[in-house]
Amino acid sequence: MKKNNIKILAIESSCDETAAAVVEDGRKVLSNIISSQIDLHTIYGGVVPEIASRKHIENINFVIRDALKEANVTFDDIDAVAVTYGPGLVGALLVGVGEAKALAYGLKKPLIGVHHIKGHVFANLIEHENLMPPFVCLIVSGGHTEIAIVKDYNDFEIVATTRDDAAGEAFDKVARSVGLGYPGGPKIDKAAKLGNPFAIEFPKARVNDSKYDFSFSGVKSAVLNYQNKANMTGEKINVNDLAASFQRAVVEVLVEHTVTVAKDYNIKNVAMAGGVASNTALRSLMEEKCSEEGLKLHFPSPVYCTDNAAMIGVAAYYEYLNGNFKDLTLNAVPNLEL
Amino acid sequence: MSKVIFESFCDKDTFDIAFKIANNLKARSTPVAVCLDGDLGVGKTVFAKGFGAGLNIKKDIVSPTFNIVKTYEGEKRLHHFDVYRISDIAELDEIGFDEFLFDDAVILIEWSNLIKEALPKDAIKVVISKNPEKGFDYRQIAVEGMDDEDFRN
Repeated sequence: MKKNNIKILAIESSCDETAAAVVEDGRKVLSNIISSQIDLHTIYGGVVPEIASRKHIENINFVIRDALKEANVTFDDIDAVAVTYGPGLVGALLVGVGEAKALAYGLKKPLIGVHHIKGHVFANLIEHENLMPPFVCLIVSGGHTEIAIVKDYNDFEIVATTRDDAAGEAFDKVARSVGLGYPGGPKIDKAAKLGNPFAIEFPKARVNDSKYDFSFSGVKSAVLNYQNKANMTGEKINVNDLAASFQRAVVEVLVEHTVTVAKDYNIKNVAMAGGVASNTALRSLMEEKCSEEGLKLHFPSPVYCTDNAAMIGVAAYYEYLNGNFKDLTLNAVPNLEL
Repeated sequence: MSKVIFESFCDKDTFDIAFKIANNLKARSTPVAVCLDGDLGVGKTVFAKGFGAGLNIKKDIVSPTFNIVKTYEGEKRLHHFDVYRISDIAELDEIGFDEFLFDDAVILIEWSNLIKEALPKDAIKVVISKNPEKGFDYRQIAVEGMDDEDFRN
């Protein structure tokens, strides 16, 4: 089997976005098409599963067509078809998995199943040529909060996870309750810039029996309780101060734990992945702490932080090199573990 | 309708009450649906953790909000739903909600009041509510569909 000029057509449809990309040799993105559905979701204040899967069906052939066109390749030039098969919303995942299986069967090309989170982590390789394992990666999004140690391209260890809510979920719920709307992350980030992060002291959640794990349900409840108390006493809430203080409580914990893992495991490279990795407060505090500790920080451009297919094409390349192919019984696994 | 009222004064109480309820339900041979309602921040997460522990599930029960449903294996299988993001009953078909209801498992459904029409008639209803007069951390946990007999052992 050839090892160079491997072109992988990758498909991602685990949540909001229908996306397709062509990636060469695991680092070179020839095209990256994302059909954003954010406008529809803004109306409903969250991801609406039924709309999500119906839209994926409508979009998927177009994003694939555009991905091939932009990469200036045809189906004949493709060496393998890769797809996210979990974790995610089952209805949404099934659209991508079904499409990828049909293409692999019709084109007689190998099929590769990719773990969504592995894709997010590998998004860091796209723009950082020199980044190689081992590195520590903080994965933060609406559905995930994890710290992974990437020991090798196909050897991951998850050393920290959330015990309750994901960081992005806490952002969404707090934003909704203070009337900032969806998506919560960017809305809170924006409001926080106008507020005082030290105005309110929210608890920084610690997990008793773990040095690295996260818990965000407590800080979310603390914000809601603060609001309830203020409502009862008729006190006026400064939404910007609240957003900034809440954001500080979440961001400080994310940074502390990530830096601690890097130090404990003596790993010099740190990376970030997932939608919340675009949060400006998180980026600046992480930069500050990493430079204090002599760690090198990497993070992807915003387009590779949100859900995209290029990252799936990158992760798939290493499965390809290992000959780790799936047959046509591949199914969507909503709770897929790493 | 039979009803049991519990009082909780801290997270640990809520956890223990949920543990007792689940521990009681795991002996039932038919699928059981348990609705869990209460405002944001009232302690549904803590309840779910205690509930999972009561079914002897070793893994951490984490928020299912993003995925809508998470499944755990214990002495009895648990399908943990959060339908917070469902805005139309028709959307439940998409995720195969009915199939979950017929599985030999316990089904815990957070924000069930959003999908009233789709719930089985014999579902147990748990409502957690605050009462500021009884203190900031006080919670009333009302369980409809079980009675004191169920907890006498």
